[in-house]
Amino acid sequence: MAHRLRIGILYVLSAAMLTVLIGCAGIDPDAAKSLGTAGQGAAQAIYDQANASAATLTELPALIVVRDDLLCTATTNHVTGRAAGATLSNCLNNLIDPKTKLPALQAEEGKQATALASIVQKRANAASQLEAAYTSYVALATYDAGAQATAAMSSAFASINELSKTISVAYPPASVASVITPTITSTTSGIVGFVAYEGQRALLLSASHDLGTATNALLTDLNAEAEYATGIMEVLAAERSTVYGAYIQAGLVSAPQVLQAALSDVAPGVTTISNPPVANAPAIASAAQHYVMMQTQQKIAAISQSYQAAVAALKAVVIQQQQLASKSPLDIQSIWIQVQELQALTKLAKAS
Amino acid sequence: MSTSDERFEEVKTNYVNALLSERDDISRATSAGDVSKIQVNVAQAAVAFYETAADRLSAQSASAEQAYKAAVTANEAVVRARQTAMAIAQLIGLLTQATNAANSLVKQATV
Repeated sequence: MAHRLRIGILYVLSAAMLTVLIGCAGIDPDAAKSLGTAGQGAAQAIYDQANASAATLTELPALIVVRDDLLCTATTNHVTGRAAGATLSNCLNNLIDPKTKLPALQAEEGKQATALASIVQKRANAASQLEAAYTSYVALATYDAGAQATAAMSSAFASINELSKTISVAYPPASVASVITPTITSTTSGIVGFVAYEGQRALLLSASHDLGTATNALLTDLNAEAEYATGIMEVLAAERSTVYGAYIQAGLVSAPQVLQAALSDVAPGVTTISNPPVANAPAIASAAQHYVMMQTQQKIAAISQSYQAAVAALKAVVIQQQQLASKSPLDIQSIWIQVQELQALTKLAKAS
Repeated sequence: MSTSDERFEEVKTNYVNALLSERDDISRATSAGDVSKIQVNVAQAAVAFYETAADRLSAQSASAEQAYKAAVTANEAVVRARQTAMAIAQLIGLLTQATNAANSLVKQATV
């Protein structure tokens, strides 16, 4: 019983000393925990944004050939209902031979889509590893989790370096982050023989420094990715919408069905009739095309905005890392505001 | 001097405008030849765009700048033509000019 009591007292004293020593070093464990938790949130949101971006990076050349055939139906004017001179059959007979058209498109578009897909996948991995590093940082501020933090930091640095390399290979002019190296390992090896509290203090300081380095490097890479990715993703979104529009034009997709989605936005639960007046068909088809175009414009805007929001979220984390390092007051809410903005835009980009 | 972003934007604008208007342009075509020209134009605009995606047209020279200005002028002419519902034959001519200007910009400004 006395033995257990002694252990209990020692445990309480140890915890108290740890808090005091960490405080002396200028790292407030509670502030570190708050920043770590917000950093986790930001990294998770950036991971989600990367996954949403990945979904837009499908190659389209084959579908573009399908679109060309279907668009020949546009030779019958949807307003007048009459052929406008170029008939469906002579349009089909004069289509560019896919064997001529496809190789150039596949070579260029395929190359860009593949390169970007690789970058986005590496960024998702880097964000995931950074999230793990922030998780370990929170653990480190709470208890002795040095081994976990050292391993997580090492993985995060490696994945960010891999991302930088992938971007610079795909886009040589891009300004990517320089190779980064964690300090936490060397600090750990340098404290052998120190009392545990000193070691804990050094680890938390070192982890703070490393997280700042890693977050800043990911921010640089994200800026580089955004510069190249947004234009290509916007064009891919436009191409997808024209394929959809061609299906509507050809009557393969029901225009009233397309407009049902628009109606649901303004009158939830109300359904359109399945057989609207035939005389109104041209107007309904035109409205469906306009709705698809409007959705495309929203999607295109969301792509660029979601990248801007991802950059803003990481910037907010970097700023608070600097505040922590300079022992200034933290504004953790500034991170959460950017994270929420990013989450909303990612959701919009997925939905539209 | 124009920036590489501005040049990229002109090549992208040419392709996206041609792409998103293709259905309407075909609906106004008066012959199979018109349709063919519209589709060839979209295909060539696509290739020009994807060629620029990695390089970003950063070469600085007088000819690159001239090509950029020509691309801007050609894109503006297409926008004006659509606003005034220009006859399809003339519009196709402007579309082809804009894509030729985009291709020339890619050639002149690629490093």
